[in-house]
Amino acid sequence: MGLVPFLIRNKEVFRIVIPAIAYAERRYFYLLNGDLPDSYDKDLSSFNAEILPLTREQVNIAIDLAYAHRHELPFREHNRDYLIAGQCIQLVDILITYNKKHFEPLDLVPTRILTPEEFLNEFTPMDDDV
Amino acid sequence: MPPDQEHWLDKMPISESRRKYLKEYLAKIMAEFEKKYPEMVKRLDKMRNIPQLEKEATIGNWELPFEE
Repeated sequence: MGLVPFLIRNKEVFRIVIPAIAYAERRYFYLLNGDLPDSYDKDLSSFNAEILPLTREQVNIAIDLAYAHRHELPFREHNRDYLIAGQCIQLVDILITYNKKHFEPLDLVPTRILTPEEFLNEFTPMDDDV
Repeated sequence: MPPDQEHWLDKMPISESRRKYLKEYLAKIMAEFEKKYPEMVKRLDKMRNIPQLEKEATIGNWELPFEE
């Protein structure tokens, strides 16, 4: 859970964006958990997170990726990953995810793919005065 | 510091001084976070059940009308 406090603390340092598909997934989980839907937006606003609307161009990138990788990562099972990748490759410097094994083969350069732990290790300064 | 944080930090290939610093730093920002956002902490704790939630999530299992 260290990532969220870190992002809140550094909300002026990083521009934090949530791909539309990831937003949908998490919002659904909030609902399943019995939390009010508005709680999710309230939580996201604590670190100034923006939702990235999915554009036609990003969908087209996603579909090109899906076709290129159809044998190892079938669209049927990985459609959400492809749509997230289509947004990231166009707009995102660093994709933070535990699902590296499904994003790394897509070669999303210039987007870097880091786990939350790798991100925290890389960007936590040595001398931050808490 | 919660056990899961100790777990990932202990596994990371970093120097002992860096590990020690990160543990202390994260413990401090977690304490600050828990104090300032207690409701969000509860919600995020519940999110640890996501693997179970995902089984129920229809969004994760779109059916497509063709075979690949």
